[in-house]
Order: sequence, then C-alpha cells, then structure tokens
Amino acid sequence: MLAAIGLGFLIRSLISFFAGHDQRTFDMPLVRAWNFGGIRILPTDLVIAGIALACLLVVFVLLYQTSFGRQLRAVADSADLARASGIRAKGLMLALWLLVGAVSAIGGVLLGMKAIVMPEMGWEFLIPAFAAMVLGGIGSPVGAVLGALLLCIAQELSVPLLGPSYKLVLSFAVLALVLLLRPAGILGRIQLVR
Amino acid sequence: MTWIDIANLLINGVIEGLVVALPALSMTLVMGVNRFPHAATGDFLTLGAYAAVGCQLLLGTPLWLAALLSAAVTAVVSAGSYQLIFRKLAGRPMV
Repeated sequence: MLAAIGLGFLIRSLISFFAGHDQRTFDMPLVRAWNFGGIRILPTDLVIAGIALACLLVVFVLLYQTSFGRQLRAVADSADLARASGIRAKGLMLALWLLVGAVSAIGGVLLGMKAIVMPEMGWEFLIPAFAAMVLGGIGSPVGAVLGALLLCIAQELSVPLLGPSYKLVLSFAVLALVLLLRPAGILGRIQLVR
Repeated sequence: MTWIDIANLLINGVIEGLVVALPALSMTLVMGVNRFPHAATGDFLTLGAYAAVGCQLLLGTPLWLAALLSAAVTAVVSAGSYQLIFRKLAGRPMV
C-alpha cells in the first residue's frame, strides 16, 4: 500500500535525522577466512547463516505447530470464515505484527553484520525480498524461503557474466519473467489462498 | 571459471539467500493475512540494524543482547504502525 511506502520514508528520514548519513559498522572481532584449498568461508558468514536458519525454523514451528499459527493460517485463508468460527482478530493481528517486526529486525542486524549500516540499506533489499516473495508464490511461506534462496543463488551466479554492479538488475529481471510466464510463482496459486 | 569459483559463488549465494529469506518471509506473512504488500519491510530492516548499532554504542552491550533489544524495539514500532496506520485502512483495495 502507499501508506506503507510513506511509512518507509518516515522511518528513513527519522533515522537519518537522528543518526546522520555516515556509514556505521558493528563492533565485531576481526577474523580470517578459512581456506579449504581455494574455497573461502568466513566464520562470521557461517554464524550469520546459522542464526538466519534458526530464526526461520522458529517461525516455521510457530506457524505450523502452535495454535497461534493455525489461527493465523485460518485468517490468511478467509477472514470471514475465521471470524465466524470464533477467532478473535485483534490480539492475533497484534501478535503477527510484533513477529513481523522482530523477524525484520533480526534480518537487518544480520545484513548489517555482513555489510555496512546506512539509511538506504533496507530500501536496496526491498526489491529482492519482493521478487523472492513473488517467485515463491504469494502467500506461501515455504515458497518465500525457496524463492529467496533461488534468487540469491542466481544473483551470485550471474556475477561472472554481468559484472558485480548488475546483481540487483537480476532480481528485477526475475520479477518481470515470473510475472510474465507464471504469475502464481513456484508454490502459489492465483488467488491468495495457501 | 573453475569449479572452485562456482563453489565460492554458490556458498555466498546460499548465505545471502538465507538472510534475504527473513524479510521475504515477513512480507509473505503480511501479504497472506492483511492482503497488501508491505513496502516498509526494508525500512524495518534498517531500523533494526540502527537500533542494534545504537544499543552497542550507547549502552555498550554485547552484540547478541543488542540484537535482541533491537528486535524488541522494532517489534513495538511495527505493532504500533499496524495499530495507528494499517488498521484504519483495512477495507481498502490493495494499493
């Protein structure tokens, strides 16, 4: 919604008003990459991947095993039927938005650990996140994770062909291709039903 | 283009894919339940990172505690934005 875009501008302006436009980094110890005969892995990157995986697992357990997740999926399927079967929307929505904020914050911290922290950082990753959502099928959480993995692997694999400055272009291209060829994405359906 | 370079690129892609999966998952949750694309997700990312930097600079906490505090702060901002902005616009069309 346009209101969300406006909220984004507001948050970004407030941040650059309070913290300035300089780039900042996190205080982390300096480590060397492990070198397995040419394959370089940074231990920080492994920690980042592990934390992201743990966070994803927590959210999936929350969605599929608890009653909170069941109520959430019911509201996602059909809001009227959910209300008819007695699910109270108010506390559920509040809990959902708290969860969304927490997950986004952990994602932001991980991104800041990988690179620098500047006010435009989130805006740059909005389009890949949106393209991942469309690629995986709108409304399917497993699809979103799969789409994100596929999109970023494709982005990295296109670097020798297009050069490192055109990585972001690939997510636009993937978005356009998916919307042209198969608008439902990989795991989604045309309507917003899981 | 040796296999080693391709393996390096694959590993980097998987790691970055796991990190991008977090905002993609949160956008999907909001899309499924509230039926609109949440375009401020990127700015929640920025807010979380800046809150963690602020916690580390001002309070001097270790990184994991700063991350948890920033998650709490961003969750409150997100719930507040739902309560103040998005609930009033609930019945409107998607844009």
